Amino acid sequence: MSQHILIELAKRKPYSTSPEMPKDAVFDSAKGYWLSEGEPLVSPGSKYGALVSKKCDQETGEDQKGE
Amino acid sequence: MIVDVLIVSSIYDFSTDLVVQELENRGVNYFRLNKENFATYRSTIDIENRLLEVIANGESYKITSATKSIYYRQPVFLRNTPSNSLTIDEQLSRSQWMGFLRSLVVFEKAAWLNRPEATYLAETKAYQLVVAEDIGFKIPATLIGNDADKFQKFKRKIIIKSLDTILLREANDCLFTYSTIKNAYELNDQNIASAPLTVQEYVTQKTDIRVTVIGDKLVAVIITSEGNGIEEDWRTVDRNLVEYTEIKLPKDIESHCFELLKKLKLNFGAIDLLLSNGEFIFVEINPTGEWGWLVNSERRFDIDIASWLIEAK
Repeated sequence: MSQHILIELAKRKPYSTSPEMPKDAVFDSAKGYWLSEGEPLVSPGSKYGALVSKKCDQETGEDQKGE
Repeated sequence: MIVDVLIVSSIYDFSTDLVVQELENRGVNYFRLNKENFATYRSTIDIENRLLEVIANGESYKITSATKSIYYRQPVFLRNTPSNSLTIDEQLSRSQWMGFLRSLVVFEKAAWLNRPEATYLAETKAYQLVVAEDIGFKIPATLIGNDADKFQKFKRKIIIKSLDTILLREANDCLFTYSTIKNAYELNDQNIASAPLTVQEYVTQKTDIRVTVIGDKLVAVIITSEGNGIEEDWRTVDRNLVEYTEIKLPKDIESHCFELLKKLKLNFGAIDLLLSNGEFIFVEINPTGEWGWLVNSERRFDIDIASWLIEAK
């Protein structure tokens, strides 16, 4: 039997368990967000903000659907 | 700390960082519970007292029946199929923490964005299509199944989709699917029998519209490339060539969107519509739809979400 068409059409990417983060980025658990040099890493329009989910290809479907 | 707003999330859920920053700016007592930290927290749900206490970094966070709102950014399905077998500890941890998160539904007085059971039902594409059509939306002709013969009724091009998000692992690769334009004759018993799929009539000359609904606020954005609608799945197009432009929906379509959320008991939804030959066509609603990609200095969904959580409508 040939491969299922959904597998045949699927886009492949190298698997990684977590996105690549800037070296100085730290998640501040008390604040509940990422910091870089003491400032929020994510802001509107930043690499880790507005662009991150839909198209950054840390794609897990509509957000956070993975386990 | 007595928590007013609980966020159930992941440290890699970057859009949520924006919401949290706004909560902090507004002096809200919030706690972001991240799935990566489950084992480092010490967490207890006290059923008798309707209390969740999480001790994180020596600090106690208490979610009570007075907690105003819960922003639930975790899956309601277990979807991933790991390529490596899980250890017995990992299996136990995954299943039981998911059960723990589901248990948060005991906080019935809190305003949820969204309650997990509502998300669970609304994630079912067949169900949302039926509800959308009942409300008055036009929907594409749709068949779901693994019988290739049945799909031959589509004489023109078709769109092939998965029924549910596909996240597969094979060796060092992960696989993800987008909607794809095909012809029905390309489907046969050999390439579809092993798993069902969704087949829809292909809507031509379409422009994609993303409608984001947060409580009683609705923002519609058309997605184009160099000013034109994108024939294929727009997510496969170079993002630098994609434009997002706010539009005003006709009143009846706007009402349909709000009614759809109401019927599905959702307070947040990201609705995909198509505009084709002057007609609005419902494609799907994503109860956990992403919004961070649409945020800019004028379109601040993060502030809208924070406001909704604070006001706990």
